Amino acid sequence: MEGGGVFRARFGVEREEKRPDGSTVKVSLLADGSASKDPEIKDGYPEFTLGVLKKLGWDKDLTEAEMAVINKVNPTTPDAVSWSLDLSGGIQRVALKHGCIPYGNGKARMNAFGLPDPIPVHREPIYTPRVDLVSQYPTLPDAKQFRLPNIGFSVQKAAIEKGIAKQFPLILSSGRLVEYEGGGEETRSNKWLAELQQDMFIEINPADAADRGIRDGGWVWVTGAENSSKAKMKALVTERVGKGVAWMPFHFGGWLGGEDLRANYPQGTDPVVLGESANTITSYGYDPATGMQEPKVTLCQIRAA
Amino acid sequence: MARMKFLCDADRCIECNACVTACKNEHDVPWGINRRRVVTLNDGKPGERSVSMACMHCTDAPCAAVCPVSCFYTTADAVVLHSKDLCIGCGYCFYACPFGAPQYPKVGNFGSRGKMDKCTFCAGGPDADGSKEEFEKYGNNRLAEGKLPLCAEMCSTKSLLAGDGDDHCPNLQGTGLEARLWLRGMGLADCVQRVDCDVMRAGLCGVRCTAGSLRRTLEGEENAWRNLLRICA
Repeated sequence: MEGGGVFRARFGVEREEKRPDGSTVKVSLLADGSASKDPEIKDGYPEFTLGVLKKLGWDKDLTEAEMAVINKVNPTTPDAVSWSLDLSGGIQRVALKHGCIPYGNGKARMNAFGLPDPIPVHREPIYTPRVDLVSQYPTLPDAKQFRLPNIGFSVQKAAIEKGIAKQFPLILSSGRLVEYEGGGEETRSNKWLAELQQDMFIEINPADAADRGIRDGGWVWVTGAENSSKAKMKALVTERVGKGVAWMPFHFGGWLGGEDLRANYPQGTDPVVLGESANTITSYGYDPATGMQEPKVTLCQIRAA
Repeated sequence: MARMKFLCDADRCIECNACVTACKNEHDVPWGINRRRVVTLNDGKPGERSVSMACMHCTDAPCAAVCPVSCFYTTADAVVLHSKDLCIGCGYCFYACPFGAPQYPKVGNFGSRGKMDKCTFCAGGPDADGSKEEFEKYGNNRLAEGKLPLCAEMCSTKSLLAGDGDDHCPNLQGTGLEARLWLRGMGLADCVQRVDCDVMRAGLCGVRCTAGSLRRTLEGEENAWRNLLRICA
């Protein structure tokens, strides 16, 4: 479409909103007076279904073959067949022919109603060095998500009661290396890439390293806040991380608790380089909306090995 | 006839190591031998800069000057190559080279050195172009196929450039290496004096400015200037 598309009418066409006086009002979620270039409908519209085409009188533009496929997709109520279910592509074709976007013309939303935090708010991580902030910015209450319990609140509370932040004073984050992808199993099996990053490491600030007698390139033990977790890796002493912060890449695997488990790989499947997995040290904590784990913030302690 | 050169712009290098990987894959270079490497200065500090380094194919090559068996030679395209049939792995060239280009495989006990290996500007060696022997000793001969070195061709930010240093860019033909180099490093006036291009000289001579403002000036002007922008991008 010339000039680009519009915001998808993704969350319905209408929503009931509460007013401050307690009454409710219905609000349109469709675009107001904005549309793509030269459409036949110059305002908001829902996503296209056969029913919508019929109301507009555009269903006569569908070919017999397209109509047959739509009837096959849903023989009982073909009117409910949308552009995304129509295997013939006819509904999309007709919508575009009239200058309209098949997925509808809606408003963008800043208030993500339906999510636990409709507008993002600050919440302290489960393991935080700023325990004083937790009462003001706690994590979400325990709840069941994706068929599973998320007991982040209880874990956060227990961590404060146990004084975890005193035992594990360094903030630990994790991230990517340009050479590897994801868990790194495939990319660590590529000799050209493996040669460029041969060791699992942790970045530590020179001040923290000096306090602990850690030398650049030396072996260290990293211990995590849960399950007496420990991992052995090399230290990269750098000002890239601030004092009190450590960072490690998450592309390594094949070592556990300082032990090289190469012998456990089926023959011929072991990557060129192995190392401790960052997940050994990272924490409990799940995003309530996506189930994504919390790999970016936890606490740890580092000592020379 | 040409004078082939590498240029690495440290302001553009993002230390992705794609040049290193491209080189190793293209020439099947073994583990531990680095014909090209990315060097990072002030790592993790403000002002951090990376630069991709390999053999710079010197006009008066110090490696050739110290070689006791005279295994080095310079091609008609000014690429410095060597013969692995003559090389004795003495390591003199390693000490002579200001760029750390010569590499040696470890062959056998007591760290004894094998025959020297280095960047060939993707131009192979003294064996017949494209032969099996040439590939096994020196890697692919892309230059003989009319192709530039793969490291520079692969560079995602066009930090690393390869081309003919004597190409004065008449009518914006050829690799345009010099135009790119001068545009980036020296500003407009020097660039105009160096690049043999009437339309540029007419419009721009004597104006000093940065590459950024040159870019803005060129945008919306004549086609020839657009072509130059395309080459410089």
